[in-house]
Amino acid sequence: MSVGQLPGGNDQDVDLNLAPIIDALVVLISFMLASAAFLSIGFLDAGISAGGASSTSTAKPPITLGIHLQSKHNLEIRVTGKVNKTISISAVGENWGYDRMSQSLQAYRKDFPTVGAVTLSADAQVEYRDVVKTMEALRKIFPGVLLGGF
Amino acid sequence: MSRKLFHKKAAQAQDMSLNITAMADIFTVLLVFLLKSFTTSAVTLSPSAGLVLPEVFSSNQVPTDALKVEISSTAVLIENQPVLDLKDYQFAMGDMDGNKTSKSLSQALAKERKRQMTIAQANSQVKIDPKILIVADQKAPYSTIKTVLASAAVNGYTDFKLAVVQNQ
Repeated sequence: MSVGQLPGGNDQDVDLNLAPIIDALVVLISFMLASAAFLSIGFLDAGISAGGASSTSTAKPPITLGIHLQSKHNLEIRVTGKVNKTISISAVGENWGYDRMSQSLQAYRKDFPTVGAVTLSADAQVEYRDVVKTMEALRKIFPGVLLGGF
Repeated sequence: MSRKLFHKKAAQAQDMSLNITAMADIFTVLLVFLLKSFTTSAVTLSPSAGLVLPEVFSSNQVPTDALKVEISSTAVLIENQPVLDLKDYQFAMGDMDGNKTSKSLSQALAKERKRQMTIAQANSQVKIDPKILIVADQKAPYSTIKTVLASAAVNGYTDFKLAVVQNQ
């Protein structure tokens, strides 16, 4: 007796009806595609060290760095401590001057390697997306980005 | 002769049928692939309609489960429950407290905190969690974000996690 033959010498072929299986698969695939998340959601840490090992030292850092976002895409780097300085960085067209900000901060990072965090604050009307973008730019230089201005 | 040809063609047409076995194979592979790529994380974020999260290129924080606070242009929601209404992202003047916090939001957060503490007291394995997920619209002004963060901080939620969309 070969496969597909009924016992008792009946030569009739038995075909599995695949049409309902296909129907079920189509419905399942449609459901999976509809419920699939095409956006990848991530989280930015606004409180503690965001990358690498967090500092366990309780010593006061030689300088405190603060970035303040102003209206019209102007920003300020406020340095206090051993160095007291305010650097104003004007907007680059309709964008923030992140390149100049990064250059200045990297110089401070080189001079004061123990400084591991920077405080970010903004004017009341500055949009949240600009704050997040600045946080992203700062995280490339400093492991800790703290939100300030309270 | 022509009649013979006609019969041959008719017989061929009868034999032709769509082989759906291959199609079933393809669909099965597709389904397995979709099931495999279907990610299940600890956090299920379903922002309200119209809420657009800010975009970043990299965020190295693994999603964690925590109290979720959503800030849209019209309301602030805690765990998808509306707590107070906003007018174009702004808090009502009467709702603001002296220490730049929102009275209604502080009350709601204090209630959540109390609930967490009650659970922690009853079950020693549960710890009081200072984490809070901020799911805010990208156009929300910093003053609104600041008020929400200040309200959270005074109630013991000091570990802020900002929800963003990863641009890949």
